[in-house]
Amino acid sequence: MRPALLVALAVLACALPWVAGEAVVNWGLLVLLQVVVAQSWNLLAGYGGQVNLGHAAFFGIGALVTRSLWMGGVPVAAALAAGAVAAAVAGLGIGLPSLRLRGPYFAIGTLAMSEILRIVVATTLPEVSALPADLIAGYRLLPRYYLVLALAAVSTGTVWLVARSRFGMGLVAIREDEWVAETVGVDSYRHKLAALLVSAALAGGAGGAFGYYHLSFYPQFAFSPVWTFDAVLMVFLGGIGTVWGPPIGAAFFVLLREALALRLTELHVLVFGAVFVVVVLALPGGLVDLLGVLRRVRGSRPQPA
Amino acid sequence: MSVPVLELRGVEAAYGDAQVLWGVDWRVQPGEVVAVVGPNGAGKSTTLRVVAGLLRPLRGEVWFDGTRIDGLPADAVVERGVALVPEGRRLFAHMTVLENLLLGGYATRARPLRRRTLEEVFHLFPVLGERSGQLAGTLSGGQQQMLAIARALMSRPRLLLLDEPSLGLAPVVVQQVYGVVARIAREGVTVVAVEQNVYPALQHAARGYLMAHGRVVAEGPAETLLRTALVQRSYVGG
Amino acid sequence: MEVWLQNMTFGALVGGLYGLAAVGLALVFGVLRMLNVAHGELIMLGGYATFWLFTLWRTDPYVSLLVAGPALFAVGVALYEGLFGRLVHLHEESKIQLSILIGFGLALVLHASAILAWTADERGVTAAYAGRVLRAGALVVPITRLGALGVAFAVLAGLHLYLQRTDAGRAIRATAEDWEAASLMGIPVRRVYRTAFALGSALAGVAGSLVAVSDAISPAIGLSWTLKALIVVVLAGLGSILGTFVAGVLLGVAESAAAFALGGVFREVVGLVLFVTILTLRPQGLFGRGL
Repeated sequence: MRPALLVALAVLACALPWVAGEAVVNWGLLVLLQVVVAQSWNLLAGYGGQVNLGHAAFFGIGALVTRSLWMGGVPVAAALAAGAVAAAVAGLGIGLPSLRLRGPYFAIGTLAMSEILRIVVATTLPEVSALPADLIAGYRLLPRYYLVLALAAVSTGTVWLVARSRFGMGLVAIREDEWVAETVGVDSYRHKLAALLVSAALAGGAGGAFGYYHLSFYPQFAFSPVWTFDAVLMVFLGGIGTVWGPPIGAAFFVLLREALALRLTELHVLVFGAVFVVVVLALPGGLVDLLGVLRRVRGSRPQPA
Repeated sequence: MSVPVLELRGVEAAYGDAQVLWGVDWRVQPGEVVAVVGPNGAGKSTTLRVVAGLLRPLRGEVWFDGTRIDGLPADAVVERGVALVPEGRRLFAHMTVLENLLLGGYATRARPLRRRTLEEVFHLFPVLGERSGQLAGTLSGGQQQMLAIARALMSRPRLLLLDEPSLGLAPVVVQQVYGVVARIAREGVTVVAVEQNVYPALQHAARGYLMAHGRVVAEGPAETLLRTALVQRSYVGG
Repeated sequence: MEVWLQNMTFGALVGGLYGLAAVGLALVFGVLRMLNVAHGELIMLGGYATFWLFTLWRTDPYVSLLVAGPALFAVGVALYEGLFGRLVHLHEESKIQLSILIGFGLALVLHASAILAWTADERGVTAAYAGRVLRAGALVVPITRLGALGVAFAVLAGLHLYLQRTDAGRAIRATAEDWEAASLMGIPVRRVYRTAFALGSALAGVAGSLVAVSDAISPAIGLSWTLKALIVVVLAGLGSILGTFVAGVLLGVAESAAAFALGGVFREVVGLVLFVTILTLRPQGLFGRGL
């Protein structure tokens, strides 16, 4: 991405609360939150080739830990850090056994594990988690917006760094062919585990921000497979294994969802499901690659004789 | 001269970006037994895959019995009367000998005659009749090769393609296999056998091709070719 | 003791449907090497077919199987032609991966469409004989559940005979074992793929009908049925239809046992725990070979 464009985007994101109304800032927050969710999933799936269908578990743990600590009086920054660490620890617990599984088995294995966690949370914490009156009284959107903005910047920056690092090259080698990667000396298990831990910590941070942002929600909702599915949709839509695809996918996803939800709640799921299938089949590079595809199609058109 | 059973004209083929065949020409007359020899990587098996419809050629033409068959899918090629015994036999190991043979006669052309063909095949390979209920994967190597050939015959082919039929077999079993091939040829089936091992192939064939690096480098009567192949081997190192 | 027996019996009756759901998924995976994670949504569609046939025309749910099965067969053909068939030329690993993604998108579409078309309400079919039970000593068996188990078993027995005794069935098994060798037999492999996918979908349709009559359906049941089917397939491998059916019954019994001994929530957890355990113990040989 061009530096000028990047700077312009950063300035716009920072200035948004000062130039736009509360509703727009809220939309911006939701987009940025999904940027974190998408990037955290993209790191492992886009670069390491590991489709984690249990991503919601990390989001949920981050939300649970951060919210409990914060409501207990811990400063939100410390609570969020603890949430991210807790998610990374869970990543270790889930990753150690499941990363020995290859491809689809990793995908369905992680899905099963996160479902176990969700059901356990739903049973042990069946009550709505609502903020007490004093916290509601002090509730302001602005710090939450900037927190999520910072997380979005950190997660995108992380992916950017990984994409340029030796570590990232190792991940890509594993994605392309795990056996070949092993034979050229990439320790695939460690690479995947490291990527999973970072991915889990970022997702935990997103969950933490979610727990800090919402006035009330059922704890199990933060563990819902919907968070995983959203990540998959946004990343594929925007462009998997790219730095700027997931943010584009997230913006597209949230804004279209908000626009469609005004009419019918289920419509956006239908639209996204269909768009997703089309992207998987016909546009494997995602929206970020759309221009490239158009260029290639034009370029390959046979010249008239 | 009559119409050749099989004719390849300038066949080129590739796996992905790697081209492995560069203008292969074959002409096989009805009733011939032709051996194709050459070192590993010469393109022999690839050429058979092209003929059988498993691999679409980049360029060139494949003619079978006066009609073009390149570009046809494998099952359509079988329906025309071409059968390939693939390298490594590729039996259905979890299915019985009888089931393998019945599948061999799956083609619509062969199915009405399947009972009769089965009797003929059991006559040619009595051991398969004895073991018809056994799982194919539990047969010995020689028996598996016999079953692979028998399965191909079940489609009542007019052209039988054999890919490395002697691979991994004891010399005495190789003699048995080629003995059967000779009997099949006497029934009027044209045979093309690809072998890395030049002796058994050229011993039992009347004529042959020598391939190297994706090209035909020599062709002629088996005896002449055997000498050429031996000389060639000292150069090519095959 | 009697309560135990009653519980286990209920578990076994439900488990037969798990087996039926799993066989459809296993058939598609074994032959095409594709994991259709929208299998549960196809079950849901089968359930709605039965529900509407019953609601609109009072069609007996066991008769509507004969509609739901073929209807889902047709849906399967369409899905293969439109979506999954585009993956057949890929290598095995990417084929599985992409099929999961496509199935996932398809599941979202079917789920959302079902809510839009039929609302998110739970529905069931209450036939005239719905309340009737069979008694064996102290044991009480609802007739609809027994019927569902019987139909599931009969359908699977029929499928077994089809795969073992007919040319078309042998062609499917041969394709599952080695598609290239199968094509050298003159078997039109792509047509076999389509048939197998459609058959798997038809089995989902029949399972859905039985779910509608013996349990309840809603647009949301898809994911949990897909997971159940996956668990059973992992338990049983791809070895045999009978093995899959038995594994389904065992899962049903295990669920009931867990729910009875440890509490209701463990009904859903026990299968997932079994699943994860087996996955980690057998990371390579998850799905056995052959069919």
